[in-house]
Amino acid sequence: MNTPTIWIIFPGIAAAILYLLRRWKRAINLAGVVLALLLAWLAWKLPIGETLSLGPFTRLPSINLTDTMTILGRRFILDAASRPFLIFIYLGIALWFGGAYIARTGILFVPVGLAVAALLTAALAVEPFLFAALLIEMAALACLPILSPPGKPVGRGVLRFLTFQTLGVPFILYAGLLLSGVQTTPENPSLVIRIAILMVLGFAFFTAIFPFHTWIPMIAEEANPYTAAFVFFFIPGIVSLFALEFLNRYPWLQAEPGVSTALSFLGVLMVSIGGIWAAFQRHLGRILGYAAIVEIGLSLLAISLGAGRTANPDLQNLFFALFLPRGVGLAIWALALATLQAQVKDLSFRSVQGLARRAPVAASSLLLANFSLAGFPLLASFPIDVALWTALSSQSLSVALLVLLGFIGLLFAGFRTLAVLVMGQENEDWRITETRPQLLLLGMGMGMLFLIGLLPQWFMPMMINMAQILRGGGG
Amino acid sequence: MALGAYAIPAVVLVAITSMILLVSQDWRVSISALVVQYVGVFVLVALDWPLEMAVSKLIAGWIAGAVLGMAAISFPKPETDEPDDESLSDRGTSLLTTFLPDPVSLSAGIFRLVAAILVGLTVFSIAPRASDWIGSIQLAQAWGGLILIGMGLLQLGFTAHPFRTILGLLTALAGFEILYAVVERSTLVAGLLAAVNLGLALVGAYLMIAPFMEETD
Repeated sequence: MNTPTIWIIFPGIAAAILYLLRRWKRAINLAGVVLALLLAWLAWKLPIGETLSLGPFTRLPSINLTDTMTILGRRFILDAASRPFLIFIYLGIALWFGGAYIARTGILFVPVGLAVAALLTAALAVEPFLFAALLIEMAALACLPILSPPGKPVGRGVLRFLTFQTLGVPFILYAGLLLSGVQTTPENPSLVIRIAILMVLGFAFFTAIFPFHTWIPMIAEEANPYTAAFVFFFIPGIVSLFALEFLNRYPWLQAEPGVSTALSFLGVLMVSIGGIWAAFQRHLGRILGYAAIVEIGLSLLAISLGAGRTANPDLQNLFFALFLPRGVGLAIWALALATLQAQVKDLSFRSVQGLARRAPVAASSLLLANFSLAGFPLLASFPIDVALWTALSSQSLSVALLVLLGFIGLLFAGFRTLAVLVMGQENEDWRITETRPQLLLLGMGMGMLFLIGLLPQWFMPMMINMAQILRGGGG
Repeated sequence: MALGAYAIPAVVLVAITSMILLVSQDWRVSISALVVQYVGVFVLVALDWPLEMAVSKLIAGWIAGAVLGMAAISFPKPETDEPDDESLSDRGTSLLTTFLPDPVSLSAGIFRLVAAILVGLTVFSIAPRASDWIGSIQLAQAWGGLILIGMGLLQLGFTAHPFRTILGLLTALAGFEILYAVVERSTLVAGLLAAVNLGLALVGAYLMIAPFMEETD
């Protein structure tokens, strides 16, 4: 038995089986949550690389759990150091599956979600790691049926997403080819420039970096908000992890001042433009999309802090710390939007006027998630955003101010949303129309936003552990 | 390699088929051109790869064409003879526009042709320098690969329709595969690229018929 079988092959097979059983919506949803939690628990508990005895069943042979699987001459490795990533992926998937039924994501969400998790895990495991580009592309392809479900017209955002993800593959594969065999700084400066251009273009396509970010607000408007947020969280999230690994494998590339400057420039551009554009949107889904763009920008900034000649590698911790508040914030925001969407024909400001009077809990969750991602004090993202902002301001005050501008834009979007949601007929009573499961999940989500914001020390060590493992400093 | 003599005809073949893909609005012609295009891709890849591995490109391409063709054939016929059923009539119109996304007028056709010629000229001027980037590439491979990438991108720029978008992506990816085959001979990469081609075709087929499928939620 080997670990890739458990965390790549098994979820892949489970995805196929759940697809065949898709008639039973609730059952496959529950099965998806249980399976994802089980895989996360196994990642936490199983002794990777050691012999596993099956507890009280002494007659059964013990299993040697190896960390490598070979397919067509290439290796997929999930060793003990991969543990936090596996827990992160499968716990994250379980969190998203938890709200899927209530968010009416459709019957394909759970099977596709599991397949995406298996493919993204394979992307992190494959050696040489550059082949991950192809696996990420396959994960993106798998997302298409949930972004454009049966019976709905195909939106332009979906096609743009498909196009950009596919166009990213050649750049990454070719950059990897040029990098193979280059362990120290190449003597030919034109080679460095070529590698940098190819890398930047490849990751820009994959992670929706400006100017290839346009599919995000379009999908946020066209697709189910919960499904859209799932894609915004996992695809750019795992790709940025892949980019960070890319940089860490080639220290000379990481030390290039141009790389750090480019990352910082693109990050600031994403955060400031994303925030400002969010402030002027008139569609709740699009605001979520721009918030996702701001989050991608923050990831780039966190990576840039750990790159360059004068960089402090410990600042890479911030990149990992961003994942938890982002995941919870986007999930709650999207769940609230899906709850509101069930009551109106679309999520434009015109349609949702006064909706807070009919769905106050969903509206509150939406606003709290919005404010959390905008770095509002006491909420989940605040401690990390402050740390990031402090680190940025110590390097460049203008960068920090532009990032602050992006946060202000997102806050402004939140206040506009608040104004629209509560406006309405004076004589309209306030009443709770959300269902009990919706109230429960949204309530738990709001609690999590406060809990992470107030007690970050409970949650951050695991995320920071991922950074240490990536740098080879722990395990 | 014995296929060396066919390299230039293969370049001509991919140039013609990619131009047909760009200009033609008939899905039957488009899919036929795509299928023939993969013969050219196979020849250009086989200049560097063992024949049995290069065949994987041909097979994957043909299956991709078959998948798209099956999706088109299995389409329900528009019921234009029943005008009182308004929704069905609307649906029929939508079905037609799926495969005839943007009816090309003569001037638009000429414009596309001129754009394609410009791409061709650009390719022929930059192809000799391709060896600066890809060491041992033959000129015919550079021509074929760059023509397909250029035409694929042009196709993507001209359309926002699922069928045409997938054709553009498959074309551009086929061009990249020719260039990449020169430097990478890994079986896993060949398998994954074939899987991506098939995945694109499956997604394309799904996106074409999804709007007309029954809602599941």
